[in-house]
Amino acid sequence: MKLNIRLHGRGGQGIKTAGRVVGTAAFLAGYYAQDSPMYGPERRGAHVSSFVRISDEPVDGRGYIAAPDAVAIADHSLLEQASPLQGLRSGGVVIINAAKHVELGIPTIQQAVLDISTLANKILGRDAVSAGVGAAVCKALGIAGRADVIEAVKMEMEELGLREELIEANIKLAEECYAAIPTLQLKTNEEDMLMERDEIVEIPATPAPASVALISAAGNSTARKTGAWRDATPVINYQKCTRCMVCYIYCPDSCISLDETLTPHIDYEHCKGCLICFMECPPRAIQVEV
Amino acid sequence: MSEETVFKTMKDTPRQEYLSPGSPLCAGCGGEIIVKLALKVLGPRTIVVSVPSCLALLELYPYVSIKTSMLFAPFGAGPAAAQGLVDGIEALASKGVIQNPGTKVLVLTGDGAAYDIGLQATSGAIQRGLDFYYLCYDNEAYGNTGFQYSSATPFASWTSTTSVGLESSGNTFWKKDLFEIWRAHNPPYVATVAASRPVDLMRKFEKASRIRGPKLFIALGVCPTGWGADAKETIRIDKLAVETGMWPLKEAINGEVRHTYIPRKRKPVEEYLKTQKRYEHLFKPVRRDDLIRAIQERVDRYWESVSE
Ligand code: SF4
Ligand code: SF4
Repeated sequence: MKLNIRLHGRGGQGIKTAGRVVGTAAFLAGYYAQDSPMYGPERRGAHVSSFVRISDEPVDGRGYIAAPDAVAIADHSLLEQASPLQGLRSGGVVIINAAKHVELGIPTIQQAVLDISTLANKILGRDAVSAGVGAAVCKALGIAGRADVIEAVKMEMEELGLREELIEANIKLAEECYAAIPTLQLKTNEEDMLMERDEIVEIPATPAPASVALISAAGNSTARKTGAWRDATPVINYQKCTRCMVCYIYCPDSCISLDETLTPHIDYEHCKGCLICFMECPPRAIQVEV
Repeated sequence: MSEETVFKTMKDTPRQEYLSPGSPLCAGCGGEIIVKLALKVLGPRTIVVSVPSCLALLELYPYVSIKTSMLFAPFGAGPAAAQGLVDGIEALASKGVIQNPGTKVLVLTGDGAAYDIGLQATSGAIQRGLDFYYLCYDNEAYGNTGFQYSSATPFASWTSTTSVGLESSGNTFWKKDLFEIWRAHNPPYVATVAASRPVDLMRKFEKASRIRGPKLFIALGVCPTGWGADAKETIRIDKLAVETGMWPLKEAINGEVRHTYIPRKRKPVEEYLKTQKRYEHLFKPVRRDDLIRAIQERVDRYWESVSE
């Protein structure tokens, strides 16, 4: 067996730990396993991913998994904002944390849906889905049995230094998710990649006389569309706006620009949804749309 | 008191933007507001020297959010790199390779570099009278690596290395007074700033830009992620830090200290502490009046010593 899994979520949901749970469970079940998160500076709310390689032979791949057999998506809004299905092989499986089946329009992939967030909120009091996602992936792909999964959750939560009650609660979440999700049959084959990789930034080689990372650009971070971080959207009511500039001054990400009449305009491709503008607008001319 | 300034109200905020959107910094980052405003005053001919800190993420290969030039230096070496730039520019100008470039060099660090790891390099640069700007974004811990304690961490606050529990109640030390340490070196200009006071901030950078020599700033860097607050609260918390007197706004010109804002009726420190999870243990499960009082008394004592 050779199984490559990619997990997607938002910073704060526990996607790195979810990957570790899957890797550890696979190891306990007798496989070779490798798990790693995408190391980056991404913060709370940002799109994050982690990778698990499982095999009955030593694992030799490293790094980003470009053509996974299965993808887990811990926040289904990422389907629109990121491209979590990129490179998924046809016949593969997608495991989605959502209340109901999500129409993907791709008949050749199978879908397992479970509302892990609701369970996590009920059991842990917040959207910390790592144990639930880990358990759901293990069961949906038939990686490890219940006992191994529970043991893996316990090990990983202890590693994080969680209090006893929280470890117990995470085990409960894992148990419920394990019980609730079906096992699907993977039908992927090596050759057949469902979606081409695109949107990958190619970094051209530059001569490096002094071995420096040279960026010959000014302010090119606009290529990063941080608008995908947003879970609430500020909207300006121009009838109420007094053109006071307050929102413009306080927006940390320079996402508000002013035209000649001092009218503010929000750059939704990059607005992270911090809502400072909403809080600070003196006449309360900014509303929040969720 | 009335000095020449182009910054009279918030409406005078320059409209040029030297930060691009799309940085990987947290939503609601207070430090980003500080850098944005500082660069608006310093202008396009500013070379930013960055060292490891959250704000180093303004430059993350292959992307950069700063629209002016930028150099990345090792953790403790920001002012040393600035010295190299200043000297290099001067040498090129004296050889006639470049003409009067009017370049400003700004070292941008967090509190980790300013208070701990880079303090000696700053000390050396101030002592040598280097003509540069230093801006410390003080979020009171090593925010970029998981919010570990630094010597800027305030008393009784939680960090990932000053734990909170039955036996412990956060940091046992008091915050280092970097303003006074810098001032003791006799630089021509030292100031504290806060994002919620943009006019004060811009005036201070304006004033500094008329002075030759080391010009040093400590900015309160409200950190929603590390401090445990909602991103939208950043400016509110910043205002409370100023209004409770926990973050004095002041400057020292040639060593002489002047407060640029004195909160007339200081709010109780509690109002500030309550907004952040890093102080939650002062209120839950039992109220720690002893610790809250200790913080209040320290603030009161500070302001008693302030005349004007
Ligand atoms: S929500 Fe935050 S990032 Fe978006 S426009 Fe408002 S202040 Fe800027
Ligand atoms: S803060 Fe409010 S009133 Fe002021 S410019 Fe922005 S939207 Fe308009």
